[in-house]
Amino acid sequence: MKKRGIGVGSMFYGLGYGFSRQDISSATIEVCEDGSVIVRSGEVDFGQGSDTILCQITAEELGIPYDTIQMVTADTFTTPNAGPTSASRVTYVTGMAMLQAARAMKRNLQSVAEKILGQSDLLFGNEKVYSMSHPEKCISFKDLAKKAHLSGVPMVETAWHDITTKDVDPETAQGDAYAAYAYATQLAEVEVDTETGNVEVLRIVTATDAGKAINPLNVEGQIEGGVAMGVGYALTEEITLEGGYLKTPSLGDYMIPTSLDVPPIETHIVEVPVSTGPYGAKGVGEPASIPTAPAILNAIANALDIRVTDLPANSANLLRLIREKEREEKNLPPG
Amino acid sequence: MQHFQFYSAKSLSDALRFLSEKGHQTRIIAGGTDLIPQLRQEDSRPEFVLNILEIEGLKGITERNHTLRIGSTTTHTQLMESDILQKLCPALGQAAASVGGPLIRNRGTIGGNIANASPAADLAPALLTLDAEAAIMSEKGTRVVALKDFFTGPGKTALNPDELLVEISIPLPQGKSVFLKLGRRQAMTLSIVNVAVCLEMEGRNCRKARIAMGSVAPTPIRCSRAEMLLMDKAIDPELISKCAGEAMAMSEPLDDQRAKAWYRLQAGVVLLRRALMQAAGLER
Repeated sequence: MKKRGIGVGSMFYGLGYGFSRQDISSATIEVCEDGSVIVRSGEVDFGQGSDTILCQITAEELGIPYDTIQMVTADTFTTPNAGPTSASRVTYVTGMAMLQAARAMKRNLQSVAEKILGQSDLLFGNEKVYSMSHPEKCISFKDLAKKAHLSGVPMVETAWHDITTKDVDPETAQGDAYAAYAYATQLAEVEVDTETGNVEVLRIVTATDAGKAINPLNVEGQIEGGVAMGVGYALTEEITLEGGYLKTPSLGDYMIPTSLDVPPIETHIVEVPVSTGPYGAKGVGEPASIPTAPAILNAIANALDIRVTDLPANSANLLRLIREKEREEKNLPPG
Repeated sequence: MQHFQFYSAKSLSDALRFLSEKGHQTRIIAGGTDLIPQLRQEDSRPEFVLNILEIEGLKGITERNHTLRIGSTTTHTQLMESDILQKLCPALGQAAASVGGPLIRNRGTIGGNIANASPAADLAPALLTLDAEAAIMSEKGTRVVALKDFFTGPGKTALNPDELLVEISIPLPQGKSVFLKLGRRQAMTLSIVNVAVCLEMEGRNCRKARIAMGSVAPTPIRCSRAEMLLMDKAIDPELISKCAGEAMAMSEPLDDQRAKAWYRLQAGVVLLRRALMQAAGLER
C-alpha cells in the first residue's frame, strides 16, 4: 500500500562562529586609472557564489557595471584574510567588509567629484557621478578615476569587519551567542510504500529568511542544493564501518541523491533585514539543508504514525519499523 | 590502474585469434562500465585488454526465423529505445532502462552485463524469462549455451578464456512480460533485488509462466518450481502470493552493503507479486 504524509521542519541557526570565537573578515578595493576596479579578498568561493555577491556589492556602491570588476580571491600572496568559508558567514561577514571598503572608496572619489562639479549632493550610478539637484552636472566614472589618481586621494581601501560576540554566561549559559540568527521552514510531502519501506519525496516547499537576497537566483540555487543534501541525509546517506574499515569509500557505495531522487522544490525567500549584514543580508547556505530531514521524517510520521529516530530512513530501516509496529498492534512478541 | 596492453580487434576473426593465443591473460572490454572500475582494483592484473567495440556486426537487434538476435555490443540505450523489444518483450527494455544512468547506458552493453555475471545484473532476469541463449565463438567454432546454464557463480560464466560472447538470441516472445527493480535510489544504483516475469494468458488461465530474479543468489535465477504453480491454473491474487513465496524459497540472499538478506526476502516477495499481478492484467 502507498501512504502519503506531510511534515514540517523549522530551524534557527546562529550565523558565524559565535560564543566569543574570533570571527573577522576583510576585503580590499582598488580603483585603477582606467576606471576598472579590482577587489581582493581571501574568501573562498567553492561554488556557492560568494564572488558574485562581493562583485554585486561593489558594483552597487560605485554605480558601475558588474563586469568592469575583477575579483581576486583566496590567494594568500595577494588577498587579505577573510576567514574560512563556513558557518554560512561569507555574505554576512565578508560581504559587510566589502561594503565598508567600497563605501570608503566612494567617499574618496566623492571628495574629488565635489571639487570638480562644485556640488555636494552626488549620486553614483550608470557609470557616472552626478548631482541630484542639477543632474546635468556630472562626470563619468572613468574620468573621475583618472582625475582622482592625479589628486592624491587613496585609490586602495581595505576594510576589516569583526563580528566576534561575547560569550554566554558560563553559569547559566544565557546570553546572545551569535551576532545574528537565520530562520527557515520547510514542508515535505512523501509517499511511503508500506510493503518495501521505500520513501518517495513528492515535493518540498521552503521559506528561508535571507535578510536581503542580494542575488535571488543564487539564494534559490543554494536552497535547492541544501534540500538535495537534506533528502540524502534523511533517506540514503550512511557511512558504514566494518572492523574499523570504511565500507562506503566511494560515491558508488555512499548514496547521495541523483536528480531523479530530488523532488520539485518550491522556494519562498523571506526578507527581514538584519542591521549587521550588507543591505540586511544573512547567510542561507546551511539554513537551506537543516530543516529538510526533520520535515521528511515528520511527513513519514504523518503517513505511518511511526517516528524514525535513527538515520537514514532507508527502505530497509523503515520496513523494519513498519513490521515492528504491526507486531505491536497484534500484540506479538518482537521478532 | 594497472599497466596493460590495449588491443583493438579489427574483425571477429582477429579477436578470436587474439583470444586463442592470449585469452588466459586477457580481459575483454566493450563499454568498460564494469571493467574499468575492476582494473582499478589491486587484484585485477590482466596483461592485455581486448577491445571488441570496433568489430562490425556485433551491434544491433534483428529478427530472423522467429528469433530475436541481439549483438553482444548492443548498448542499454539501444535496448531501451528499440521498438521491436518494446512490442515483443517490454521487460527487457525496462531492465535496460533501469541500468545506471544515461551515461552508463550509452556505454554499457548487453554482452558486458551478461559476461560480467554480477548476481545483480539487471538484464539477466529479463533474459532468463525470455529463454535467451548465448552464442559463443572461438577459433574452434560456435556453441550455444542456454542463459540459465551460462551463469556459474558470482562473476563466473561458462565462457572459456579463448571464447567471445557474440550474440544473445531469444525465441520470438509470447505473453506479457514485466521487469521491476528495487535499488537504494532512483538511478545510478545496483539492485537490492530485481525480478522479471513473463505470463502467457488465455483469459484468466495461465498457459505458461516464466519467473526470474536477481541479487538474491550467487547467480541470477529462474524459479521453475514457482512457475509450475501457475501453469494451467486460473490466476488470482492468492495464487500469485503463493507463487511469489515459492519463488523466494529458491533464493539464497546474502547480507551486503546494499541490503540485508531479510530485507531482500521481504522486498523480493513484494516485487514478484506486483510483477505477476501486472503481467496477469490484475493490476496496473
